Amino acid sequence: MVLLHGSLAMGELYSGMLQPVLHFESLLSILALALWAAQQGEPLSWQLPVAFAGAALAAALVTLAGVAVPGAAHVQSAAMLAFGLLLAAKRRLPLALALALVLVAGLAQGHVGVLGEEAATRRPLLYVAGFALGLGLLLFHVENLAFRARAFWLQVGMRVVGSWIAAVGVLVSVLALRGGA
Amino acid sequence: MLASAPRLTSGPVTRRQLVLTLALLLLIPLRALAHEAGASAGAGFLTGFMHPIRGLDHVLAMFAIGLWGSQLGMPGIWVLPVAFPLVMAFGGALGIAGVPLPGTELGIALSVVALGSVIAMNLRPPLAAALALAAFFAIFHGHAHGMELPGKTGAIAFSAGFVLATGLIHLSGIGVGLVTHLPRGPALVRVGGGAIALSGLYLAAQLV
Repeated sequence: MVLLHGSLAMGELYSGMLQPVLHFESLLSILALALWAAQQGEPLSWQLPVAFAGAALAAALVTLAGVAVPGAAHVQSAAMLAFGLLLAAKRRLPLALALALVLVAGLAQGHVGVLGEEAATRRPLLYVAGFALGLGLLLFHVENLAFRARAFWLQVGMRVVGSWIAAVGVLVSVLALRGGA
Repeated sequence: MLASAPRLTSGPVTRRQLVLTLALLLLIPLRALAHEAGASAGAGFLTGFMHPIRGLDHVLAMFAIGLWGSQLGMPGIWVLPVAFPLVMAFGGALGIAGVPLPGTELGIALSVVALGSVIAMNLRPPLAAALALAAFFAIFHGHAHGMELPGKTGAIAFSAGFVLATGLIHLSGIGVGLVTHLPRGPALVRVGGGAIALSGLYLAAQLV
């Protein structure tokens, strides 16, 4: 928590790393994305996370340059719903469609990720570097666990997680529409 | 009976390790949100978590879904609890959007009666029919919650707590339902279903 306030060296890098973990919106969509990608097996299992993290990094840099896109938070909620449903249904999508979905979600993730007050630092590039690193580590960690979880009940458990995340996505999307409209 | 039960462990990562990791992952945003956004987000999660637990009618119905799943065995044991929170969220969306649904409270009481009764009678419909029944009632439950949901503040924390609590009640129903593998277990589960149905009747009688 001290690090969050940026009072130590490496503060920006570390608060960037923490960003995807500290927000339910990010954490749940990334969790669903990584588990879904792991369900698909090679090569989608690494293509999807790489596309997501790449898009997020690009969007973060563009956002730093001053581009503001309204409604990115809604896209993030929708992505949570989409990835949750795909994970629960264990659904395989055509490569182009899967990549498009992941790219859009990654762009929203990157945009929202650097809009928060944590990103308003003196060294924003360090923050973005940490952000990308944190995203990559989280995706890798979840997929690594998912790959080793071959037991039937663990496979079912992942689909259960997907349906719960999708349910959260539904509620958040509708609450946001009501509150924000 | 147990021969059909799947193996529970395999691979280098044990179940315990995975559960621990996921539990820790879940704890992180809680702590962080509590610090970061002040009381509202942390309170939002707790409010959401307590929401499904507050009403006995909801708890009985969601517990019954898990119990019925256990009684049905594979694949109902996991398909029903996967479907219910999802459909309930859509019902909640209807409620949030202000779409009127007549007789919500009575529908919920009747869902307790119906779900308790199918367990007591040990009905084994095709999975699609069981799903349809669960989904029909899930709409009522979700709608009732949706009408009472708070505004935009802490929406994500509230929703996460809400869904987590719902799922955990299903899990406890499944867990209790596992007694069906014991010698007199199936009869016990049916008695439990009967008790749930009677409670539902009592709740319905109070509404009429």
